[in-house]
Amino acid sequence: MIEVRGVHKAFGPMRVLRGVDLDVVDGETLVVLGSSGGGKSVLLKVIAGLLDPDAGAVRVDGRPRESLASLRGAGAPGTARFAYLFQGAALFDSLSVGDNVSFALRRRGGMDPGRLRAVAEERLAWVGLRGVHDKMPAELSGGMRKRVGLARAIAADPAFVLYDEPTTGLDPISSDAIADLILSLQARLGSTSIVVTHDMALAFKVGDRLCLLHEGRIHARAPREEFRALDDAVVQQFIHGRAQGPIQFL
Amino acid sequence: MSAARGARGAALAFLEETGRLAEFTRDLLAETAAFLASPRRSLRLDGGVLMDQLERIGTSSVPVVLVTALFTGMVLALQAGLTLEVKLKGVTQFMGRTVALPFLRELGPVLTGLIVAGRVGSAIAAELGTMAVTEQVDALKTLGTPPLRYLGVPRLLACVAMLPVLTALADVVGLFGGYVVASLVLGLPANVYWGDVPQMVTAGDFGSGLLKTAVFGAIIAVVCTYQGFGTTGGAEGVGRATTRAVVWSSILILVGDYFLTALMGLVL
Ligand SMILES: Nc1ncnc2c1ncn2[C@@H]1O[C@H](COP(=O)(O)OP(=O)(O)OP(=O)(O)O)[C@@H](O)[C@H]1O
Ligand SMILES: [Mg+2]
Repeated sequence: MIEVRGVHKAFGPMRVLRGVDLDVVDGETLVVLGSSGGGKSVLLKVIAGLLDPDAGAVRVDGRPRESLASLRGAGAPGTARFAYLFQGAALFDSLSVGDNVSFALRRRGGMDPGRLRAVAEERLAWVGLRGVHDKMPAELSGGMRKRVGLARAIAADPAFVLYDEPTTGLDPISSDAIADLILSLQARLGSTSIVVTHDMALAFKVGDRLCLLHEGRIHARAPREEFRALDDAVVQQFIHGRAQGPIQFL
Repeated sequence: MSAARGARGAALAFLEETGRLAEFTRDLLAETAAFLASPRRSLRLDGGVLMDQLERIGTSSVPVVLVTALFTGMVLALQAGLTLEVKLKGVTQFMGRTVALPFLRELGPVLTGLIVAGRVGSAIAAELGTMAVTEQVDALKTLGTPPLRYLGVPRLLACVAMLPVLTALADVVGLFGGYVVASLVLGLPANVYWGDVPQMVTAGDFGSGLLKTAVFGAIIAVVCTYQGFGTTGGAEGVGRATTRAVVWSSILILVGDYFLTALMGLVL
């Protein structure tokens, strides 16, 4: 269970998060929608501990989540249970694809190279990639990098998975495959997920509940079908992707 | 009035920056101590990364360090030859010490430090800076690996270990360069040149130089990893961080050299 309470975060004069409250219950997938630059990535980073909030708190299973804001922080084994898919994939470009995927397992120790390779190949196959184990990240397309990032995030069987725009830059078929993957991971690992996305097809396919981040707060939240029918101008503008409406496009 | 306020702001910013650097240095040293004291399994885990850094920082710097040392030794001998022969009327039997003393005590260590700061320090800052702006540093944390341990410690250890080695090589090659010029250009017999070195030069001259470069290595690693980790603002930010890293490590090497020399003068 993830509880976000009254989280504020500003960068200089720019107040990005202005009191976010959010609960994610065990086993569910929560989709966070919101306009570009609205602070969705910042919210995910606050939840993962990569950024400390200026005010408010994040609790995981009833305890304050560990801060990863300092360069020394990285969690004792057992506490680093957030898997994070970065918006830009953030692959280690000095390591091969396979070494990226098995990174956390290798650091944890106790697995021989053959086993590590087998796990990496398996996770890569889950995200629909074969024959890339020994390539370098620079040799991959943007969409492939994103999928490798996903394979890396889920390699160590995480309890919580944070997806930052998992389908951006993918074709519709790969996007749908990623949606299936998120669903199957949830079934397989029983993980709790937060998915940040602009992709309505993905949002309505994987989201048990959806919410909309608007002007630094959670503007609306509802279970999937109710969300679609919400009588709210901002939500409807977003779902239907209209430039005209309460959300101003600058 | 506003100029005074500007100066005050700049001074405050400088103090703040110094404080952050001090804090970073403390953290990096603490991580390094923890690494060195950690069980064998974890040493094995990071051993590969450390070897890689030793290679990148040490071995691959050898050619440029040697060329620099060779020509510095040669020009030192040439200058010494001109001075000893023309101005002091033929006391060329002191050639050996005239090259060896400044080279072992100052030129070898400082030049090696500056070259490594430019060559390796810029690479460290650019690499870590790129990792920071592309969120690879954040990714490390989410994968359960402290960036300071995984990226900082191997670079610090490699710099501290390799600079004295590079300097020792530079010393040997520099003296040899001096000898080449002394014998070929000035016609000095080998036994006069080499025979003069032990007259004035002690193991302490050699050792104090190596000791200083170990500190220079630490300066380079700390300043350049600090700049790298602190990088923001995309490709332009990486460029800025790299420049700052080289400028500050070079300045700190020169300033540090003075105070280290003064300190060793008191102690030794
Ligand atoms: N480290 C940072 N320093 C300064 N400003 C930041 C930082 N991170 C984010 N911001 C700012 O916070 C705002 C929200 O950024 P964020 O990346 O969370 O947007 P987003 O909702 O994820 O947008 P997108 O959908 O385009 O990814 C932006 O205006 C951005 O410029
Ligand atoms: Mg984002």
